[in-house]
Amino acid sequence: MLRIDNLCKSFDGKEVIKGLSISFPQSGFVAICGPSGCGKSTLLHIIAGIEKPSSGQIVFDDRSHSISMSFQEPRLLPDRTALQNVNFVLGDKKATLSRAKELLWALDIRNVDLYPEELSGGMKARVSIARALAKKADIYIFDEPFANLDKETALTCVDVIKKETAGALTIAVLHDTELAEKISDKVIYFK
Amino acid sequence: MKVIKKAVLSIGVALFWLALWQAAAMIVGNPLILPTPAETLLRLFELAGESNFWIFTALSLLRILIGILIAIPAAWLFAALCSGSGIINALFSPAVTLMKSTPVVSFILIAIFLVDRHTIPSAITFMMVFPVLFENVREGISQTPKELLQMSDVFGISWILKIKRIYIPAIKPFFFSALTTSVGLAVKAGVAAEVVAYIPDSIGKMLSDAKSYMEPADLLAWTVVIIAISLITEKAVHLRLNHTKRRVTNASDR
Repeated sequence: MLRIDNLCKSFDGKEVIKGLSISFPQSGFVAICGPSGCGKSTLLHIIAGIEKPSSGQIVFDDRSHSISMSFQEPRLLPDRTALQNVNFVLGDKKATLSRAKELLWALDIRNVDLYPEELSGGMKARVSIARALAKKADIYIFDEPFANLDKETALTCVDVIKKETAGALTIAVLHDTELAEKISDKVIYFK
Repeated sequence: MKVIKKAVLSIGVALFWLALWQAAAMIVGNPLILPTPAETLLRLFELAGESNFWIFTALSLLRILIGILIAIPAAWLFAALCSGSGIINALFSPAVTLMKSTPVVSFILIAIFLVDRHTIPSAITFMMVFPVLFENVREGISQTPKELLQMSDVFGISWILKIKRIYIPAIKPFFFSALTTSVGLAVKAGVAAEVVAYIPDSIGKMLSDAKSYMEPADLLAWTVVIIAISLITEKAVHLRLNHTKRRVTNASDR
């Protein structure tokens, strides 16, 4: 479904990704682990279309693929509530508010009317996860989604993510290799 | 307590300047040159009793308001076009710089030749307000958080929703700050245009007549009216700005 062929990416002459080739399965949970600065987030950005590769290519088997993403930083709209932030990707309609609320509740965000500045780091991360799950996609990308969460909350989030992304491909950059091995169908290690 | 202290201070400052005005008028000793605050206030009350006073004030305010109301959408439109296209920006920027650096009186005199006399105050108000709003809205667009735009691109958000939820909230503080600065400017420029173009049924004409017929009490009374309009309009924009801020704060308190 998703194949990366001999991908290279440089920033200001500095090579971050060099000749990377990976084949991802059609569905399942794939974790990417590795030290800081090895190009994990850059790869996710290239898959999501935010960055362009310097050379090499990304091949999607399906021509019409859709991607949803949870960024390393939550990137929430500052003047919208947690609920409104999730509903934003559902078209900001009244009819979709219940779906947005359902996802937030599943991730244990009960006070959905709080603004981003009133949320803790962990709560912001979960709102960002809920927003990514709100959009129906073929590929879900999570960039260090559990960085601000304790293990118990992280495992709750994993359950919700797996339930909501069933049948799709989920790619997550994780810094906790133990957790990655435990929850993933496949773990890719970057050097 | 803080409010009372502030009110006492404001009254004290006003009394100080009125005392200074009174002293200057007493030194001059000629109401045909400088009337006292009491004489001016009395004349203001007399003028306020005449129906023309309210009609002329309303008409002047309307002309200024028309200029501002045309400048607002024009500033948003051109700022958006200039932000979206380097060529349009390069073409349009010198015109805005020219508008900003040309003296208001030059604009008024040119406008006398080019446009209908009755539209001059609105046109001049537009010329004063537009560059300030345009530059601030353009700045607001350039300061829109790139990471939010990237996020909205990944989620395939429609351009209408992007404008509504990302661009407008980012531009709003720049826009309202510029509007607060420019409304006072608009009132002064609009009345100046009425004076120079001698627009009938206007505050400007009354000012001009007061000068011609050597009626300094009238001149000062109308000046007080202009200052009052300027302050009220600035305050109205301030209130609108605070209302917007409060709406977000109140919602966050729910």
